[in-house]
Amino acid sequence: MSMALATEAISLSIRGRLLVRALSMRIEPGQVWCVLGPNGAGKSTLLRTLAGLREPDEGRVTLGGRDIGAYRPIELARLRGFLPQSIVDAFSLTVMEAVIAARHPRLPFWAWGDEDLQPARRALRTFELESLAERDVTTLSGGERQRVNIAALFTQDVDVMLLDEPLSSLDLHHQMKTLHELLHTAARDGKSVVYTVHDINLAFQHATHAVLLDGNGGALAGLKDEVITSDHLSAAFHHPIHGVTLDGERFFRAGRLNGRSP
Amino acid sequence: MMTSSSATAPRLATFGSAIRLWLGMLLVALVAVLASVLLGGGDSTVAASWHGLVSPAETPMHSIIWELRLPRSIAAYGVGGLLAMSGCLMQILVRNPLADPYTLGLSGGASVGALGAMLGGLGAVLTAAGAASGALVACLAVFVLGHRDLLSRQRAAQREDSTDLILIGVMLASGFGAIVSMMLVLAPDRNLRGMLFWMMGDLSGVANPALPVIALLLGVLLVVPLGRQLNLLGRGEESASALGVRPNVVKSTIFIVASLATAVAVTTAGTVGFVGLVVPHALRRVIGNDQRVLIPACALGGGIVVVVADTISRIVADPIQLPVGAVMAVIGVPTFMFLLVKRR
Repeated sequence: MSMALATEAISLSIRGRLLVRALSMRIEPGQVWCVLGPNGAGKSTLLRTLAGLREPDEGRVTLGGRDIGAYRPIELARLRGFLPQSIVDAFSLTVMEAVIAARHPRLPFWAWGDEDLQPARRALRTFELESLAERDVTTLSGGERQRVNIAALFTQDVDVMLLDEPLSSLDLHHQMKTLHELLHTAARDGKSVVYTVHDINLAFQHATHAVLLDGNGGALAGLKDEVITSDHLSAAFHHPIHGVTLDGERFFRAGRLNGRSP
Repeated sequence: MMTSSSATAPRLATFGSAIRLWLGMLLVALVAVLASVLLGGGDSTVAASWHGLVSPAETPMHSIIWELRLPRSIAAYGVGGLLAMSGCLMQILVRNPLADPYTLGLSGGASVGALGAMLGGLGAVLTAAGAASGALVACLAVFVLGHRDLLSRQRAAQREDSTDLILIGVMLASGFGAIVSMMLVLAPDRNLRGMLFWMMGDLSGVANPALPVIALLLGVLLVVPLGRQLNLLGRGEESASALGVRPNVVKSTIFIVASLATAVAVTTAGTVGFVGLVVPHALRRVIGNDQRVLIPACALGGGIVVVVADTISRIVADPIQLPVGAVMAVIGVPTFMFLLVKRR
């Protein structure tokens, strides 16, 4: 059934700059991974590499034990989904059309594509988009568009879900809703989830594992409690980050830059 | 379980509704072709034309209908369909609704080839051959120069436009345009009229009317199965490749189909303008951007527009024939403005 996505000592560099050195991680079904790191640290590059949309500069990525580059794109699209940071539509289309298009990998070559609308309807309902189903995607707000694309990812119905900044431009309710649905589908359906995010506290509360990149080749991966610590965070972000415990829950706060303690 | 699917069922382009639309357009197309065959300038009445069409007697009208008007009408239909389909594909390829079949410089190449043949005093067949080879040279040049945009499997950056490709096309078009201007200046007066007519689109001397229609059919059959992938490509290459589309394969395919379609059209009738830009655009406004529905609709609708325009260009100033591209623009521009202003 569901299978593990693993990296074996991958290195990633962009334009000669080494971002990630020798990162090995194994993403098992049911796990939720957050990817943290400063701007330009290679979070998106790592995600695109995990999605098989880019080859690692060294090492290899495997899905179910098989090299991810050995899959045909359409086979891969039935197993893993990828939400890019932004989707720019060249032509206008309705919300329903955008969501139903994600069924493409599941359809036989000659199918028209209107045979099974249930997964799309379900995803629209989950992300509170039913009333927008007829709307033109290009006229929606940034947050609404983001929800449409997340709903499309759920419609694709894949074992491994990779999301590049799914929470950007979402309001607080929909941030929590999206994270809840991701955790829920991981726990209930045994999906594995990897997402990049900037909010350390949201990530800490909604993940089982974490990757922390520092942008200079350093990459930590493992259980979130071991990776997300104030020492690791302060080193990766080059900024003092303190951990506090409130009502038995761990929070992280960044030190102010005016010299006074927070 | 409560389901209120019937109440909230979103409108989607189902296969059934697409078939109904295409059949309706096909019917209009047949009517347009029939009308263009029956209508003529001067003393030819509809009744006489009809008689010439149906009676097997070897009357002058019979040969006018069967040897002049019908081949011309069929060629006009094929050329219009090819240009509209090609325009639609180019718009998807460069992700820009302002693209047309000539955006990537094909018409310039064809013009240089055809006008060069005319300057050399060569006949119609060699002029067509010149147009074809000019178009193919231009197409090849774009492909070689723009192969990074068309073929790269991994994009250098997450660019979601095709600016390089458009720039290459526009530059080639300017270069060819300059050569064409020089040819027109240097051409002797007796050749000038024919050259100008060729550049504005001329359906009067079509040698092989079946060719554009066959090419149109082949093109549509080749591209329609890619409809879902083209829709995904419209949402950006990154999300399309994550959904199992190979952007390089799909883009190369539509580039080649669009280029060959345009090459056949300009070889048949010169550089007929307007239809390739406006028909896809107008149809997008009326029936939406679902490429599965839109591409066959463009193929059907482009033909209708050119057949109607060509019929008008034949009869309105008889015995003088107006250039079909100009007639199309004169009627089409106000129509399009109306569509543009009246938001859907």
